Amino acid sequence: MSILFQKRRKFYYALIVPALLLYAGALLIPLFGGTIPYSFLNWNLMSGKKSMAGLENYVKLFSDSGFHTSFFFNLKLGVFTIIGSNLVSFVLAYFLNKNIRAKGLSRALFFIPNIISAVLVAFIWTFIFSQILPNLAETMHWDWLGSISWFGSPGTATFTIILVSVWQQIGFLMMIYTAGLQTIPIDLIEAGKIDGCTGLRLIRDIQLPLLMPTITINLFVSISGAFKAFDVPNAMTAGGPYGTTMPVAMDIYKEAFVKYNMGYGAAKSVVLFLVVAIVTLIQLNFTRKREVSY
Amino acid sequence: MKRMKKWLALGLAAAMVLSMTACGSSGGGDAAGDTGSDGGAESSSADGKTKITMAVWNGSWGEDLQAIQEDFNSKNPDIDLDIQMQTGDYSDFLGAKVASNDLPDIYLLTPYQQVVAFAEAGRLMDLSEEPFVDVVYPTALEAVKGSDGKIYAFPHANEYLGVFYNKEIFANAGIDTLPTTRDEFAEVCAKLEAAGIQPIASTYKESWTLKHLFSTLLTPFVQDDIPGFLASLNSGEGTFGVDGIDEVFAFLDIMKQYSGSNMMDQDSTSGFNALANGQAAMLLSGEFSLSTVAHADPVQDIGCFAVPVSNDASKNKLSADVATCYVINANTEHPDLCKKVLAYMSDPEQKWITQLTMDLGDAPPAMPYSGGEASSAMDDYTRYCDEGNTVPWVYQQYANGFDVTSGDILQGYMAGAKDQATVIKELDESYLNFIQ
Repeated sequence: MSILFQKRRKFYYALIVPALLLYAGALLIPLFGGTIPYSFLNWNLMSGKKSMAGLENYVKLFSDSGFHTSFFFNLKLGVFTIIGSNLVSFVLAYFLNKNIRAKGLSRALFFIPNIISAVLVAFIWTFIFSQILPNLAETMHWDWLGSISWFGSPGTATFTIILVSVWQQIGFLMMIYTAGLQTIPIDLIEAGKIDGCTGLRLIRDIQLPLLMPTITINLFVSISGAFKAFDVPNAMTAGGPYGTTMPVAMDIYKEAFVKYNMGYGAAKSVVLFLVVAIVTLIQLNFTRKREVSY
Repeated sequence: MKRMKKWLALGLAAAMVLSMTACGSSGGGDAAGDTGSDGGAESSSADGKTKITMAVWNGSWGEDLQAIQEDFNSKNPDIDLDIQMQTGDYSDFLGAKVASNDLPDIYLLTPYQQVVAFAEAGRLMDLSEEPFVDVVYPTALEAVKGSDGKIYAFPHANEYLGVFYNKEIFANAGIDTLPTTRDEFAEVCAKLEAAGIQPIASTYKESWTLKHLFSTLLTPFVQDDIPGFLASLNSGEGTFGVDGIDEVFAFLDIMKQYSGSNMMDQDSTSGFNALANGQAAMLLSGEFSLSTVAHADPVQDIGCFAVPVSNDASKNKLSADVATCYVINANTEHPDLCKKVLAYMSDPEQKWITQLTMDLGDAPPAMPYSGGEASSAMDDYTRYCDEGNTVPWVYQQYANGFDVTSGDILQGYMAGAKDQATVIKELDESYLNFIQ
């Protein structure tokens, strides 16, 4: 540790304290003082009856088929959204990093979906799927398009949610990839080109390893975002048709505020928190190890 | 230069803190929405008036409520009535207030089960001696009784569910008698389709419309012994496969056939608009869909008839029931002033009732009333009520919370993914999760 750090150590810690207090008050205290204790209760929010239930709620989770369906839907949504949005945003960032005209304008346009509120995005796309596409199919006599019921079957409904989620996220991820690409020293790339490494090999062997910190961040954001998904599925399909596109967050919300089972809902929240924590820890470990610097 | 940087940094930090507090007070804009400001906590305003808080759910009645609030406050200078429309989900708001034990002085509830549940938890004031008890329809009082037989809520609006049809389209298609049996209904649909018109407007993407639909179709077959039906369900041994359930599903099959293409992609907004714009001839919904009709240009003439689910015409009655009721917090600090507000709300001469019933699509009050916007649908409704040809909404009497699930399960049938036997089985099994 440098001497300067030792001298100013107390000051540095003092700078962290305000943020730490906010974090503790908004997150740690409600989590450890609220959600986790509640998960050990049988608490009906409507009647106000509370009683100790021990690990009963957690045991119930293992046989709750509704929770399992939501969980697998989240996994499905997560896999496609994470891979899809990262791939597309990397490609966009890569090509918008070259010398093209209107680079800044294109980047801004791609970023706009991220700014629009998720509910508005969902309404617009719902309108596109339920009104515009059928009308287009009718006008162009494309029967294959007209016969698809976008929200009538689980497969197509899931597809619409994945499409909209990816569409909304690529702008943000693209910005971070752009920043990452621009930190790669240009002499390394030129050195690589001189040695005959071009195109895809250049990307795979030189740019991607150096981009690992960026990939770490983007994967982390995508994974936690996928598990927290609520606003887009809620506004597009409301969990339909018949509960097949319900993410875990919506299942928890319905458990606590529609069925009024606060204790069981809290238990589900704790399980979700643990799963996301474990997955992101594994991911951080994996990608951190692969970070290189030349 | 250094000093300017310092001031700039300080200024930016201050701006950041200020914007944070601004965001905090506006509630964050999540999909879950604002749960509204706290109610019931402060009870006196700065100028010596006593504050009474009333919480209602979100809707297009903001201006009406404002007019009512001003009228009441001008007539009662000692009271400051504050009506708060809750943004976001109302049951979310209720859940939060129940959890923090911070309910407003007066608030909105759905009748039957919700009133019973709140009354049993000791949250509601007994209103059995209030003047409205002698004025409202006797059947409406049944909707607001607690398990001890006392009256715990003021039944405000009577809503009705049925088939809303475009009278001009029917006349043009040569339909001169309204269908009273399921077979006649299928014939009417076929005639409309042959004339090139979509017979039924779909709303099936939103499961709450299916919750209403299932209840409207089921109630005629259990109307003779609704308490018995519910008791068997609540005992855990009952089933939704009652006598006549086959007729319910036969009617649903007719609906599936004649609701147009892409019917699972249409939500309530597009369904109501299809009726309002004359694109569909019929809509199976409630009187609230008429607000959309009122905003179309030109305004279509819409009538209403009871859903002819059964081939036995005597069973088919209009589904009319109390849909909203108002309760007083048992722990309010100003019970007498709350009762004053309640008397104002239940007086058909005062603005509460007149303002909230004056537009097309507004629900009529649960008492004999001659005001309100005249319309064909209202005339039809009044005729059904006068003839005693109505049945209640059975879904409001299910175990708390199940009604939402019933809509979700039925959506599987409408999407063609589940058959009748599966749907009945799922309804029976999932009901068990809601029995306390």
